[in-house]
Parts: sequence; structure tokens; C-alpha cells
Amino acid sequence: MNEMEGRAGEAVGRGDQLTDEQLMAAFAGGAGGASADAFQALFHRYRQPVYGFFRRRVADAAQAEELAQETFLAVLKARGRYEATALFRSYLYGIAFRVLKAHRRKALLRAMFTGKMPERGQPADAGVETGLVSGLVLRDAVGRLERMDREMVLLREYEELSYAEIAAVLGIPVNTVRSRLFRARMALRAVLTSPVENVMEMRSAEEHA
Amino acid sequence: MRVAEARAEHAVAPEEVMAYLDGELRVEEAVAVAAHVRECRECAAMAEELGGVSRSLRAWTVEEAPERLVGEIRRAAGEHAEQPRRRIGRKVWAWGGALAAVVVLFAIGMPMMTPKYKRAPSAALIAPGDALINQSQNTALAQENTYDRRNMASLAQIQAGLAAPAPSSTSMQGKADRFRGGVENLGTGAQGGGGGGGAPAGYVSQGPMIARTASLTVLVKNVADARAALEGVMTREQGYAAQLSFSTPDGGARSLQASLRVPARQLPGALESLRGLGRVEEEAQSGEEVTAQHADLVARLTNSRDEEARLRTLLAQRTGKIEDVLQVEEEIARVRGEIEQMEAEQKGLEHRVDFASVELKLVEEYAARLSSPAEGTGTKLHNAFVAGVENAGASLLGLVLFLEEYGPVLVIWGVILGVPAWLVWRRYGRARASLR
Repeated sequence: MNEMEGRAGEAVGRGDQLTDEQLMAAFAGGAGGASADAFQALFHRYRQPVYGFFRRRVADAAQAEELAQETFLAVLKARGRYEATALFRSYLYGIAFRVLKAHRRKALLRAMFTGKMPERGQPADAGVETGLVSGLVLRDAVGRLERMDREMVLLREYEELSYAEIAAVLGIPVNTVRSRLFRARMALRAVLTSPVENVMEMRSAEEHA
Repeated sequence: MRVAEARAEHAVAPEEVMAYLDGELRVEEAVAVAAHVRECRECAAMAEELGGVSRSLRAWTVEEAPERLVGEIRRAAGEHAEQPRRRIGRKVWAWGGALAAVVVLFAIGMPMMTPKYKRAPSAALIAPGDALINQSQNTALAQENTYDRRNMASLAQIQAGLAAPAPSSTSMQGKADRFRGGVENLGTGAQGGGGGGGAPAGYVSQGPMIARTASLTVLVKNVADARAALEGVMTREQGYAAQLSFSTPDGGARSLQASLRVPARQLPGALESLRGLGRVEEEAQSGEEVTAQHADLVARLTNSRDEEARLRTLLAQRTGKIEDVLQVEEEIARVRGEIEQMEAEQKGLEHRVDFASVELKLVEEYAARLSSPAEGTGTKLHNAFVAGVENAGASLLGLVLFLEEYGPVLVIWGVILGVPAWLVWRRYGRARASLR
């Protein structure tokens, strides 16, 4: 929830009472100073979340920074195309996801020509140890998921998107999101919970049967 | 999987428990699921586990976004800047470069792939030969052109020997010019070297001179009768047969082939009569304009005759050493030979104009007879089989020949193009695998 603190912490000027969508409307429709202020407010709300989005998905911190920058620049550039029907959040993450896909495509192409394999798995340092698992195990567990499943888990757990928003970002039906997300979480549970717990779970299941 | 099976009989699907935890259910559904979870121990356990997964995942935190990002965006927002130009430029360069590379590859590769390239060296070997031939032809022409001048030059030499030494001149050309002047002084009536404008001797031509040829194929009922008629036509038109052959092949139509010469004036009438022999199957006429050729010949002839006359005058009027006299006589003999050759040529040409040439072919209508009974089915099958085997052999041989001829080239190009392609494909596969 670290990135959420960014929203509350760095509220700018008069923008902090307005919703994202109101700010975006002001930014897209307005001109000059008001518009720039609205964008600044949006930027301060989403700076950390968007950076986090990329930080969890690419290996290099500098790369994540560049991609986050690219995302905001895209928002700046495409403000005329924003339609008020969508939540700003899903709009923003939709752009971020496209930026990410473009980056991956380029990385793949580069890898083909240079022979260097693109970064693997989940990069950011998960420094905090919880009672259950270390950050390393966590990263590895998430990295082991199938690409689409991983994306869904990340979008749900860290960006906290709703099923419908995930479906919109990834371009798949909502029902698919639900079933695949469930499958992915079950797989994660199997990895994250200790073997002992797994065995106990199995026993209780047998008793029940 | 295990969980899903175990919960098959539950009122609430496990996915719904998850959706409930995620706050994705409508109120009434949420109430139902909540009630079930409270009662069902296993569903409660699963809800707890799902929550645990989420809690564990939250442990993965990300450091603060760098301040640099803030500065960049703030500036960009302030300027309402476009996306950096640099990126677009680079893309254009990359695509342009790729296109250029492809073009260059094609430019290099295509000529090598086509067989023409292989043959090029031999063509190059032939070309100089052609050039040589052309050159020699040119020299021959040049020789012909300078013919008169050469003769004059030798004449000048002779004259220099016979007469009192002329003022010394360095070039042959100069001597020749001087000689020409001398000849005019001699008053032989010779015209200047170039022209030949005089009327052609021995031949009076009106209008263009045309050598006519015609060819005619006529289908006749009976070749023997037609031949008799042909001879009648020839006597009437004052023509003659330069060559005539008669053939009677076995199992075929009899035919007669003749090369006729007919006076040019008589040609239309003669052709008309010949057409009357039977049904005309083929007819062609052509005329070759030889006026210029004839005029040229006549001019050269005139020149040579003048030269001969001059030489004779020289011989009669001047006296000199015996060698010089002999040399002049030799020269006269050579010129005489040339004159005769040209006269013969002129006659031939005039004859071609006077007499049109007609290539006549008379073919008898042939009633085909049923020679042999049609071949039986067995024979047909056998023949087809033999042909099939031959064809198979021929095509196999063709394949082998093709492989022999192009195999090495194909292998080379396969290696040159295939290996990089394979490497790239492998890298692509690996890259995909590791990205997944």
C-alpha cells in the first residue's frame, strides 16, 4: 500500500478534493494554467502507482522510470482522446499496459539481434519480510505464473483494479478474468503456503470426502 | 484442483468466495456468500488462505519514484510538449536502413541467383571477338573507300619515277593531289575522283531499278499436265527455268519445284498464267531496290576505266627505265582485272533487274489411302508404356542435371541465408521462452 500513500501525501493545491475524472476533464478541456494544474494533481496522485506498476514488471529501475515517464507523456499527448465514460484509473493503466507491451516487444526484438536474453521474472526488491514468506520467494512465485495470469494477479493485488477494469486493460471477458484469477491465486497459494500446511489441507479434504 | 473437487457440493462456488473477498459481488450475492462462509468451515479456511495470499503479495513493495521523474513530467506538462522527436527520428532511420539493406541484398543477390550471371563471362569472351570482326569489317570498308586514293598514290610514285623529279613533297597525299592536277593538265578528260556522275555505260535505266522475286505454291490436279502447261507459259513469256526438279515420293503427293526466270516486264502476265494452273496455296512477292547499288558499281567502273586509260596514255607518251615500264604494265593488268570483275557484277545485277525470279512449287492433290490398319489397343498400351518410361527417365535425368548445375549454388545460398535465419529464429524462441 506504499504507493497509495502518494495520493494522500502529495496533494497539490486545489485539486485534492476533486475526483480523478473531474481533474482529467479539467486537464483535457481546460487551457493554460488551470489545465496544467489539473495535470499536476493527477500526476501526483499516480506518480507512485504508475512507477510501481513498471517497477514490478521490468528489471531495471531506470527502465521503469523511463516507461512511467513515457506513460505520462502519452497521457499528456492524447488528452484530446480521453472519453469521460471510462474511469481515469483504467484509462491510465490501459496506456501503461500498452507502453509495457511496446517495451517488451522492443526488448524481444533487441534480444533477437543482440543475443542477450531479456530480463526474466519479477525484478523489484521485495525487501520486507512478512511472517509467511520472503520477498524473494514471492517474486519467484509470481514469476512462475503464466504471463496473462501474472498480469491479472498484479493488476488486482497492486493496482487494485476491479475485474471489469482488468478485463478492459487486458482485452478479455470479465468471466475469464474471474476464473483465471482464481486459478492463479490457487497456484500462488500452493507455492506460498508451506508444504506442511499443504499436507494438512489435503488430510482435511480427505476427511471431508 | 483438489479444492475445486472437494467443494463440488457446496452451495457457493469457490470463485464466488474470491469475488466476495474482492468486493465484486452484488449485495444479495455477497450476503449469501457471507452466510455460507460463516457456516462452512472449509470455505472459511479457503477465504482465509486467499486473504493470506493477498497479504503475502502486499509484502512486495516498491521504492519511491525518483524525483527526476517529477521534474521531467513537470517540465513536459508546462510546455505541453510533444513526444520527443529523437525517438521518431531513430525509428525512421532504422526503417530506412532496413529498407536500404534489403535493396542492397537484392541488388547483390538477384544477379547471382539468375543463370545469366553464370554465362556472362563467356559472353564477355565472345564480345571482343565480335568487336574484332567489326573492326576488320570496318578496315575492309576503309580500304575500299581509300581504294582510289591508294591507286592514285602508287600512280604518283610511278610518275615521280618516270618524269623529271617534281618539287619534293613529304606526304603521299600531297603527291596524289599534285598528280591529279597533272592528269587534268594531260587533258584525258578524266572527271574528279569522287563523282561518277556520268550515265551508266551499256545500260539505260528509267526510274528505279528493282530486282523482283516471287514465290508461288499451286495445288494442281495433275503435275504432269501442269508441267506441260508451265512450259507453254515459259515459251510464251520468253522466260526459262533456271532449275527444275520433279519428285514422286512413295505414298505422298507428286510435286514439282522450279526456279523460273521471267523478263521483268512479263512478270505479271506470267504469274497470272501460273496461277491459272490450279489452286494457289501460297504466294509472295518482293522487290529489292538496287538503283543505288548499281549506280555505285557504275561509278567505280568508270573510275577504273579512266585509270586504265590514263595508264595507257602514260605508257604511250612517256619513256623511262624498263622497271618503271614493267610496273606500269603490271598496274594496267591489275586495273583491267578489276574492271572485268565489276563488269560481271554489273551484268549480274542488270540481269536480276531484267529477269524476275519466280520460285514455283506445284503440288498434286493427294488422295490419301488407308495404308495400314489402325494399331491395336495392345500396341497402343505398349507404346504409351514405353513413352512413359522414357519420359520418367528423361525427367529424372533432368532433375539430376538441374541439381548438378544449381545444387552448389543452392547449397551456398541456403547456408548464407538459412543459417542467420535459423539463428534469429532460435534467439526469438529463447527470448519468448524467457519472457513468458
